[in-house]
Amino acid sequence: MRVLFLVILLFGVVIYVFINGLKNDPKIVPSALINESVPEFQISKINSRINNFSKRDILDDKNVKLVNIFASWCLPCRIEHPQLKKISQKDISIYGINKKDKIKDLERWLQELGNPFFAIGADNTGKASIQWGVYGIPETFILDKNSNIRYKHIGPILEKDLETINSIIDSLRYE
Amino acid sequence: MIAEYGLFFLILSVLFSSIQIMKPLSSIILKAKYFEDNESFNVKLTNLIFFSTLASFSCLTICFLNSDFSLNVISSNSNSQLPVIYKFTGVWGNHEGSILLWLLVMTFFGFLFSRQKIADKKLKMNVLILQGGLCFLIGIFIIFTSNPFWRSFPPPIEGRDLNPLLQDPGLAIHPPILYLGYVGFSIVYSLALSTLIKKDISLDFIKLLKPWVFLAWSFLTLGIGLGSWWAYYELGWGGFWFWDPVENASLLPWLTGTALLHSIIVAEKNKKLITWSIILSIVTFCLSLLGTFLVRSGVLTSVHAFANDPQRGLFILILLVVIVGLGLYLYWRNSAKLIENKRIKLVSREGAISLNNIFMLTIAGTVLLGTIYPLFTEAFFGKKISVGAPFFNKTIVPFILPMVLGMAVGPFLKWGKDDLLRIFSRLRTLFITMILFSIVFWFIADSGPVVANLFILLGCCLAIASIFQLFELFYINYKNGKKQIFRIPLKNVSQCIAHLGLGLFIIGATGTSILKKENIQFQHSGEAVNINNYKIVFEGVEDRTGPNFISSYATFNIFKDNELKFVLNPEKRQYNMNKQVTTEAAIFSTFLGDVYIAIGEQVIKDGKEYWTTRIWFNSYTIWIWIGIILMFFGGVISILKFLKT
Repeated sequence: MRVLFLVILLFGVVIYVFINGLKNDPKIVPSALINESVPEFQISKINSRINNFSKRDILDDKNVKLVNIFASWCLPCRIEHPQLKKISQKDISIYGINKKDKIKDLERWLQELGNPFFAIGADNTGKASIQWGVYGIPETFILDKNSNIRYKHIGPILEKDLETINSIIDSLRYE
Repeated sequence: MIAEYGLFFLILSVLFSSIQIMKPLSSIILKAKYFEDNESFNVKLTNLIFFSTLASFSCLTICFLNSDFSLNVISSNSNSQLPVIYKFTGVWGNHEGSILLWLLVMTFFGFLFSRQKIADKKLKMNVLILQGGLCFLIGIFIIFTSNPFWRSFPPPIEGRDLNPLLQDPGLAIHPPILYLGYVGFSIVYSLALSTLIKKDISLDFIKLLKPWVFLAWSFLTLGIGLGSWWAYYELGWGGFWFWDPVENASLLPWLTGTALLHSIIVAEKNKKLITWSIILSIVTFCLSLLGTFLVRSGVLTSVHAFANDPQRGLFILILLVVIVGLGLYLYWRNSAKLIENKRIKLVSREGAISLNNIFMLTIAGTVLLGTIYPLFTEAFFGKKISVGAPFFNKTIVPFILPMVLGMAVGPFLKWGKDDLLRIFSRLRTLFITMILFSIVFWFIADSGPVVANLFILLGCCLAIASIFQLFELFYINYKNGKKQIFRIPLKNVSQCIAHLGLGLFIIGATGTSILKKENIQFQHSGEAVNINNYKIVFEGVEDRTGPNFISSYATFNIFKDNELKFVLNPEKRQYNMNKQVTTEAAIFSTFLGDVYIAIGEQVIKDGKEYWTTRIWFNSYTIWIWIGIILMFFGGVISILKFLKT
């Protein structure tokens, strides 16, 4: 009888865990960088309003800011672009890390779709993306005034995600 | 129209299976008997269920061959450019179709079972009813959550293509074979439950159970082997087993199935371990279902990137609860009447087999824990973790050593009781051969890690012991003056071949995972790389077009002692429809190891064209496949015996 009870209990726990598992999306993986400072990285700037593009530049920026990893060859980035433009209208700097792209393609892309970025750095080797812990683009990080990473969005920012993103930006601004 | 016929037949199949379970349900709920026991009625129903499912499956196949893109499954998993063979295999290259295949295999096994002549009519009837119940559950699962005959309007003009990774001969036949294994255990489950309902175990039950266990086990072995082979050459990662949740899900029923395979041998021989065999029968099928749940619900991340569908997951979970619950309930109610109390001596054949059972279940428990542990941490600690190869290697490898030693000696032990000292004197030829071999091996083995040499030696010893066992049987025939020396019982042949297979498998697995050599570099054409006595010269890459893809087709000349041995052509394919890129590794196999080449990306540096090339030398890999095939044949030989009678 005791054994039966144990078996049923164990079985119940397993089923509970499974039902709980159904609610979660395994594809969402939290970034190890959350609440950490900007990772060390150094890339050459392109199409930039500032001179260089590295950890230093982001640290010097004492406002809430976004870091977006994108490329012209990435179709979801194209879907994301209009939302980035909307966010940039909120007077916030978006730093773009342009992953493994050709400069001509990037220029054509910006001409066609507009440029919401405050600065763009060229990550030709993909090393900076690795330092940011990026595993698929687009990915977007929201950084607070002290340049600590507070939120990571994986995949394109869609219309429906704007509300979340904006509210996070607002709350960080008032910190 | 054909799709509607398909749906009609599917509904018909579910209706027939609901009639099948009407009788026991009515007698349980209404406490009255409205139907008389009529075994031939159940047999007819089973046939009807099978043929209507077959008709439904054929309709889906015809729709796939005709590229009827108005069906959702076909527009998302097929394409008019697709070669005909992949249009056909595309039927099960998606969730809906593969579950329909699962149902088809299940009804087919019911059909086969109904053809069997069984003296105990009541038992046969119960098995058919339970099998009908399982078909009913899967049937409504298909109709309500994964209907393959769902139409979309307006129909798309072109389909989105079959996942390129599935456009491969190895993977095309992998699901049906694996299902023959998975679903084969459904009959085992039904048989075990029917016996519990009967509350009386006759040896007939074990005799009935045995061929089904062997059948399911053999196909499960082959199915897992095919999947592993596919992963080896298609994924381009140079390994054969990645401890991915979906791989583990197929390994779990294999482990408990292997335990069952051995415990029924004891049950048949001297009526021990009978209730244990019943538990294993139930557990094995439940683990098959658990595997389906893990794969189909998408609760775990895996290379088998299926859509995340909680609704389906919940349904399978309900199925799992019903099936496990029924098994547990019947076991709890009725097993007390079956309890046998016979002790087993450690040093005896049944002792060795029990040891095998303990090892198999420990490994199964460890694999299960590692596989679902991420779900636990997420449920209770809200933490996302993943359990990978290091955990499994560290926890499982230590068991292999004593298990294999037991396997090598176990078959030589006597039933009932044996004496260790007497074994040593009886098997002195074997032990001397093994020790001599070990000494020679230790001197000629290359200076690889000690663990690798140890495990390869272990595999060799198991292989030697299995071959020795065969010769011993021949020798006994010879000594007894029998005319046909090579006539030995099929069950011994089967066991020797399967054990030999595992021995060879261990050699291959050790070589591939520990002794492999890996070179990753940028290469321009004409540049050579040396690996394991081979000189590999990269000759460049050209573009080629296939039926539905464009390929970067590389050429490597492989030299040994300055003599051109062979040419390898790894490819990188980009499929036209969904722009997915796949790696087609090129492999040259020898008995000592595989030269395995995969190409990566092109890089232009200083005006020169470089390619990332990955070149492996995987030691003894071919023995993995030979071992698996031998294990499969070992199982099949046992089935032959039953077909004869």
